[in-house]
Amino acid sequence: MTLQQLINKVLNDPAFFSALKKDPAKALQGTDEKLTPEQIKALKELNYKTLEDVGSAFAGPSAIT
Amino acid sequence: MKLLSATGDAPDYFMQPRMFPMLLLPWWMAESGGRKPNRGFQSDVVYSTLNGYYYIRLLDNLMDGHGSVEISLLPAAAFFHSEFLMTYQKYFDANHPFWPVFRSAWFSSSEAVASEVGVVCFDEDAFRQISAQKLCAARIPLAATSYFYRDAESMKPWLEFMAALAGWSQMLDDLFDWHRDLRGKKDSYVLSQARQHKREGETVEAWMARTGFNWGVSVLRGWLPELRRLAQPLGSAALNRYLDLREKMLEEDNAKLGAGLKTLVKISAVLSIEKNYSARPN
Repeated sequence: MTLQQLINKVLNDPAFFSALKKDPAKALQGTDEKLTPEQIKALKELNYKTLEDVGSAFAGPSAIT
Repeated sequence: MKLLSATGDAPDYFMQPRMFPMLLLPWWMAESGGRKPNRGFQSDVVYSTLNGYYYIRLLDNLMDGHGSVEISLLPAAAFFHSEFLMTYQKYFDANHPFWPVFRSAWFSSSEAVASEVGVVCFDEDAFRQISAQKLCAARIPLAATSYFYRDAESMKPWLEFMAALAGWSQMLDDLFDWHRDLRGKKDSYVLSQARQHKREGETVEAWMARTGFNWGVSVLRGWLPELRRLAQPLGSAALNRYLDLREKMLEEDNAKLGAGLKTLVKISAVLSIEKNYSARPN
């Protein structure tokens, strides 16, 4: 999964990241990603809470002009 | 009008701290140096400015393709334009020096909106000469305020400050709208920088997450001292408090969104390990 695809997920499907934290292998079922135990461990350790604001800042309605 | 506001109430939209302070600038100017503002005049300035804003916003949304209901609202442009202009006719006769300032600012604003469509690649000069000029109609209520209080000498430093703040606000707008602009195929200074500086094969989205957002914040941070320098002689404590607030909000957004984008880069790095490993020869 590319960084571009991940950004689109944040903006359009933020629930994906809850699933990724909970069960990375299950969340990525149906994609080309085949995870090693090390990758699963690394994905579970990331701070997904930091993603919450990204979607609303960059995908919601423009706040300024 | 209600659609602009997340709550459906127009005042909530205009009172967002992120909004360019087009309604507050004339008030801050009116009360600077301890002067007591004339509430009747200042109410008229707010009314005129709101009409001018809706007029510009209507055309801008149609031009950049963000609009959904704007075509059917287009005839309302006549109302907005008339109310915007005629409010000042109560205060300034046809030969008053206010009107050349009005014409110049109003035409420059329209020209900027029209020119922006044709720009293929924005550098900092194009950004300052075109994108930042879209807000230059905000010179009109400031000019009206300075003439109303017979304080024409205060106009120049306030207009200089307003122009610098317009550039800063437009840069902030471009930075936070990068994905909406990309999706809407609308170019901006931020997206032009992304296209120029991204690595070979890297997408604009990836550049924005990896480094572009940080770059944008550092540009905004770098322009703040000039805003403070231009605000200093204006003698407005409220204006200085506003700049403090904007600086604080910028740092909060940087901390919050910068951390989120870093997490995305880390996820991408973790997921790409397997691909890199698989690509190696056995």
